[in-house]
Amino acid sequence: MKYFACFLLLGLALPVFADKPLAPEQLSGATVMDAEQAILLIQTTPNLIIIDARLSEEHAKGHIPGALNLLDTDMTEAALSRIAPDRSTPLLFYCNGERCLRSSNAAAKASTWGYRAIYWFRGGWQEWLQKELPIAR
Amino acid sequence: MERISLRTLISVMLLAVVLIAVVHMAVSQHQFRRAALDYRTDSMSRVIEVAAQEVLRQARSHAITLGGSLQRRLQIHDAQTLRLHLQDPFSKGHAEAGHLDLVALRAYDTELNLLATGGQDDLPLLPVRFIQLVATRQGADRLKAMSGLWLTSREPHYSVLVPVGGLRAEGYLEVVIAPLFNLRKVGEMINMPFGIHGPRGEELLHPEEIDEHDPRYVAMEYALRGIDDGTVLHLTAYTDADLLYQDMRRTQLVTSFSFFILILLVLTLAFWLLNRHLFEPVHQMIAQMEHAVHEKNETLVTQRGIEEVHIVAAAFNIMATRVREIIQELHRLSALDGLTNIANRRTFTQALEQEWLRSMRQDTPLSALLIDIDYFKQYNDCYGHQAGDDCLKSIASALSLAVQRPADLVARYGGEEFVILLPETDEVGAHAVAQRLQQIVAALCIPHAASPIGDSVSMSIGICTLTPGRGESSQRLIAGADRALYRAKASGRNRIKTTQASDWAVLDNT
Repeated sequence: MKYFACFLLLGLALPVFADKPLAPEQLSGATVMDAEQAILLIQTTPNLIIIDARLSEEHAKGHIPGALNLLDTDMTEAALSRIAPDRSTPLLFYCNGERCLRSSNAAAKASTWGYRAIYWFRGGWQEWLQKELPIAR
Repeated sequence: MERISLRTLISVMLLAVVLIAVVHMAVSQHQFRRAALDYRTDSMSRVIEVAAQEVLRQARSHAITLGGSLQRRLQIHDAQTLRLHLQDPFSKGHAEAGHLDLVALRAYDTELNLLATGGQDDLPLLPVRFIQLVATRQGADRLKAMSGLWLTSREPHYSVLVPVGGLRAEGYLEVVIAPLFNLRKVGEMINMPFGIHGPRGEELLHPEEIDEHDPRYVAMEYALRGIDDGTVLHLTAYTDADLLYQDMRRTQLVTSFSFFILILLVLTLAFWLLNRHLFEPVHQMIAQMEHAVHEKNETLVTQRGIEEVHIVAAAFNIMATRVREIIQELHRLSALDGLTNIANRRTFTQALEQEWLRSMRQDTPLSALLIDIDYFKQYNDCYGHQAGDDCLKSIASALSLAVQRPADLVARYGGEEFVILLPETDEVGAHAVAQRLQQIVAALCIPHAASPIGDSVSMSIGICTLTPGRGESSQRLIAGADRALYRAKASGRNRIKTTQASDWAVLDNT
């Protein structure tokens, strides 16, 4: 009985201590990449559209140079079509990092709407800062 | 060489071991002290290293932030405005300035050609190695910041190279700072007196509160290396040696004390074991041996202790038993007359002495019979010495048999003389014994053709009975018996005479 109570307490306490859930490792319909691959992609793809899926306040503090801010929950098919009318336009999504699900959500939605060249920078802003890469404000 | 006991020897050896241990501890203190100092120096230089790297990392982070905020306004290819913008932080101040001691800002193109300078403008060019490192980078790495310490002829500098122009990397902005401003904080981080010296030993930061030449302080150093691998700065922390040694001494005291206690315990145990199994048995053995040698009893040595003592004790016991047997045999032999196997004159003299004293104590009469075989010389002449010996033997055994009480003693007194000691016997008793002896010898019927007084061997007997008085000699008894014997022989032999008053008169006069 005593042990049971302990387990019950532990079970109740766990969600409190647990981190935010991790973003998936892979995403169907999207190419996962790290900071170096993202930079290479940016440098070699002139018509690439970089979408910062974070809140506008976060975007204002600093973002990858050339990125557009479009919060994942605000991103409708119409809104995305205004930015990228052509479904073959390459799109690069990023948000805060591994513990952030915004960019994966946005990329998944774009995939269902028929966008064919979707890239997902999974490490996001956290990795960008850590590698001390150029920042735009 | 003087004789020393085993116990003393072992005690001295144990004492020597303790002494050596103590001396060793004293000597090892020096080594201990050095090891403690080495260890302290090693660990402290690591602590300084970690603190210094952290401080430089923070400085680099601030420099990158400063560079990032500037680069929006920088037009690398517009040399006119470039210089003005680079001067801005120096003229107007900057948010990051509180964290950095900004020396200069320099702008480069992608090939690291200097385009413009803000702040101190006579700064030498970056070290070649730095430029090579930046130039050889590929791909995305070219967008990352680079930093390193380097040395001008005057002072150390810390440069952070930040890419300019976003992801297109149009050039670089170099933020040059004086690292001393940041490295001061290392002292606060490690919370010890802290000083900084240049590569040639020149003092750049004096340690607060202490005199660095005070021998009480031990310096612990970490050399901070620059981009071209040479030492740029020496970071030194000072520790109070007295405090360090105090710690060390406590540790050493505890270690030494426990070591000493352990040695003492081991030695006590060793001594106890040796005492129980060696010293005690050996000492007991020696005491018992002395007892066995000096006391004439059947003492043997107890076999205990270690094997060697056992063996010695067993050997001693075997030898003691053997010696006792031999002594007993010798005693027996020395007490008896070789020919007749009855007591000899020596035994008789001892017995007389004892009986004399006993009779004196108990105030009882003591009688002696002195017996002489009549005409024994003639017997020898007639029958030969062999027959004479046989005759003596026969008579001796006859006399022994005839005397019945255990306390009575028959002894051969001389050639053909025998003596019989009869304790607690008065004159009448002694006379009866004498008569019985004469009858028994007569009954033997030993032929004696040469005897002028008969056909067979006969005896003359002198009897003396005395109740010993204090101060009298036992020889008086023998003398009396001898006198009586003389009269027995003088009055024709083969008869018994008792000491008379006239005899005593003769004796006392001579």
